[in-house]
Amino acid sequence: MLRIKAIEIEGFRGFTENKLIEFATPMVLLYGGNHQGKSSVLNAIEWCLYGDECIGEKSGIRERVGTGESAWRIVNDNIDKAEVKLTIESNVGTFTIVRSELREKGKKGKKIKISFPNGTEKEGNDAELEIAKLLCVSFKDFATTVYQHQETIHDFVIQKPTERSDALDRLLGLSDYRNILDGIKKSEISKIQKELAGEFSKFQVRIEEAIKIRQKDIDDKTNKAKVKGLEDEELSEMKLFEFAESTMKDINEFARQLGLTISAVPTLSDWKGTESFINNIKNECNRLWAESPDVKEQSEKQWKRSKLVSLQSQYEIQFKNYKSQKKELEDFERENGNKDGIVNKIENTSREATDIEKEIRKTNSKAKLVEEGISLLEVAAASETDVCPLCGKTVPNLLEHLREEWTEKIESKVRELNNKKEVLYKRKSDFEGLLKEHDRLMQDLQREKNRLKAAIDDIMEFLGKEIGDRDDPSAILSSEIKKIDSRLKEIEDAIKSKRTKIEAILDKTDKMNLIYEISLLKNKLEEINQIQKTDLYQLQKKIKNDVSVLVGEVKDLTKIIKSCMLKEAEEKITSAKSAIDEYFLKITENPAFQKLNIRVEEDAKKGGNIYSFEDQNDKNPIPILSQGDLNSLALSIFLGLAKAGGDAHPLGFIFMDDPSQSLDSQQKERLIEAIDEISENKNIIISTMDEEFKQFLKENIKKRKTVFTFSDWMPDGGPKISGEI
Amino acid sequence: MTYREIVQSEIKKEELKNLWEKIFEAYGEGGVEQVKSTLNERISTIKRNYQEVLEKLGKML
Repeated sequence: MLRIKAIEIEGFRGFTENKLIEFATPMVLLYGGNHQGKSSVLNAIEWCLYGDECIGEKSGIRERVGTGESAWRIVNDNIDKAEVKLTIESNVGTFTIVRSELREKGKKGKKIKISFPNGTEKEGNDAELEIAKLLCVSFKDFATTVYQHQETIHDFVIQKPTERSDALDRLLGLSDYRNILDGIKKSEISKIQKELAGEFSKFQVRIEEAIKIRQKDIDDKTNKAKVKGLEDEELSEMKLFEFAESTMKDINEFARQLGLTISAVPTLSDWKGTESFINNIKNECNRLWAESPDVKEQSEKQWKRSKLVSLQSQYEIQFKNYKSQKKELEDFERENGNKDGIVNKIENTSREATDIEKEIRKTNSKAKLVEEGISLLEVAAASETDVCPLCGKTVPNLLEHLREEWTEKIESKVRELNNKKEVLYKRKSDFEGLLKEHDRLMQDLQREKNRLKAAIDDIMEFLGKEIGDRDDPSAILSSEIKKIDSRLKEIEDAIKSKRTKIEAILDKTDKMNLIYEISLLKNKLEEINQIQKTDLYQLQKKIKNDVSVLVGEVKDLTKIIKSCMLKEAEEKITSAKSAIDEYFLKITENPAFQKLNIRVEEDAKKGGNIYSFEDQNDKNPIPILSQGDLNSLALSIFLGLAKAGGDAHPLGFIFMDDPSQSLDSQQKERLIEAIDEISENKNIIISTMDEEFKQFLKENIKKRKTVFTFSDWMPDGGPKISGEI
Repeated sequence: MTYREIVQSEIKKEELKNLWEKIFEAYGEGGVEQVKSTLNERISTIKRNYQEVLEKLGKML
């Protein structure tokens, strides 16, 4: 039998400084208010023995489920390392287990060591194996038969049936079953099976639509074939071959008539080669047509005609331009004279202008003399009448007279001469402008003449003959065109007949094409109808079947798991039944109850078990149970299981964490009696903040007991612990 | 007996035993979520294969 002798805690959860607690008595009470570290002592023992097994969802303890920031923390926030040293006494001696963990170092920061009574030690995985051997109790069994967790009581007292059943499952150590069922339920297997069924249905719809579409296409093509004169019974491969043979005959005959031979066109041996056959025939038709002499001649003549028309048009345009230009020059000369005439005019005008200038000069020199005379006369005083040197008259005032003469005759004469001169120069300038215009008209005319000549040269080159000056090129061209038209008319009928033959051949190929397309469509339709016989379709069926098999297997496994879970619950309850009944009646001492039965059945909806309770009258007592009674029930189940499984393992202790929740005073006293009874065989470690419960324990438990009081917890120091035996 | 052994002892079919082993391993590795992921992965692979086959069948239409 193993018993806990002492525990040393440092850096573990609320503990910072090293604290030693010795379990020197059969009963140990850890007493104190909330958050003073009492439960942490129990957790420390648990952690030291089981390590990571007591953390996370597999622990079955909800407060320990979480990751990251919400993870249940081992290492105290102010310390880098948590270490718990547990001293365990056994029949063979004292074992020491030391477990430590460094903050945020993961697996590398975790250490475990066990020291044996003989002084040897083991570490790491070897130590874990030795501890498991020593304890002989899985963590699951530990949590159901050794450590009564306050969460269990709490969930019981809440009275929600699902919470209670869940708590019971955990109390009975069935969390793993629950969790696995949960994982299976959360998976998408069934959902995906439905999705695949949906996809298959859609595919079936697509097949039907594809069949409809193909059928419609066949109908459309069949109608077209009817329009072309094909009957239903002719829409066959046999007809294809007939057409192919007939087409070959026709095209050969056609070629023979043209005096040509066809290229090697492969005969149609497989209806699937129809498209290629048709293309070959069409190519041959095109070739024969192009090489047909009539067609060639027609083509050539049409080209020649087109060229002649173009030349004629070009010539006529050029001729028109030339004529127009010539007329313009003629009109100009008619109005202004020819070049020589204009030149003469310019020369004449120049001569006249020169004469005027001479006259002007002469007059200007006379004016000078008169001016000088006037000046002389002005100097000499003159009162007598004088004779005018200009006109010879005797005038009373010669000076005045000379002035008048100057103004009237000389000045006005000069003015008049200047005017004349200007007119002449202007006239000369006009004539020079006319000359330029004449030159330009001459140049334009020459240009048009050159163009006309070029057009005539083109015609001569094309016709291959000379055209004289007296010949009318346009008339010559018209004559040529007429000849060509006449010849084209002659060969038209022959060409028409050839065209008809070609069209007949192409008509057959069109019919062949229709029959071919209809055959293709029918084939495709057949393929679609036969799709279910393909390997791929069978594969699809197999895969769907695999899914069904997997879903079936998962369902079967789920059933088995549920059945095992139920069976285990039944076994445990059956084995602890009388003890549970006994403890419950003892603790509650409710006269309404003389008997308590626990039934368990499968929760078909949610998985897990549903627990129901029956009193002596086979009625459900839960609705009338107080919270204290429910707590008693939870405790009874724990104590009952502890008693039933007690001898199965060597752990000589049990923990109870805050067991007196919701109990009234009498119930507390009766609980203590039950605990007292258990303590005959096991050491009891109880954590409580219940003052009354503590007093009852001290007063009613006869065995030696130690009360450790936890108080004044500080972040940097942890709890203050004082012990009293 | 552990719960693993209990369940195993109740299983008769070999395929079911394999499935149970896989689920048990997954649970050991990553709890509820790992069980869910393992099953999802398996069905997702099948689903992918199925969709590929359906696509090929679709081309035959």
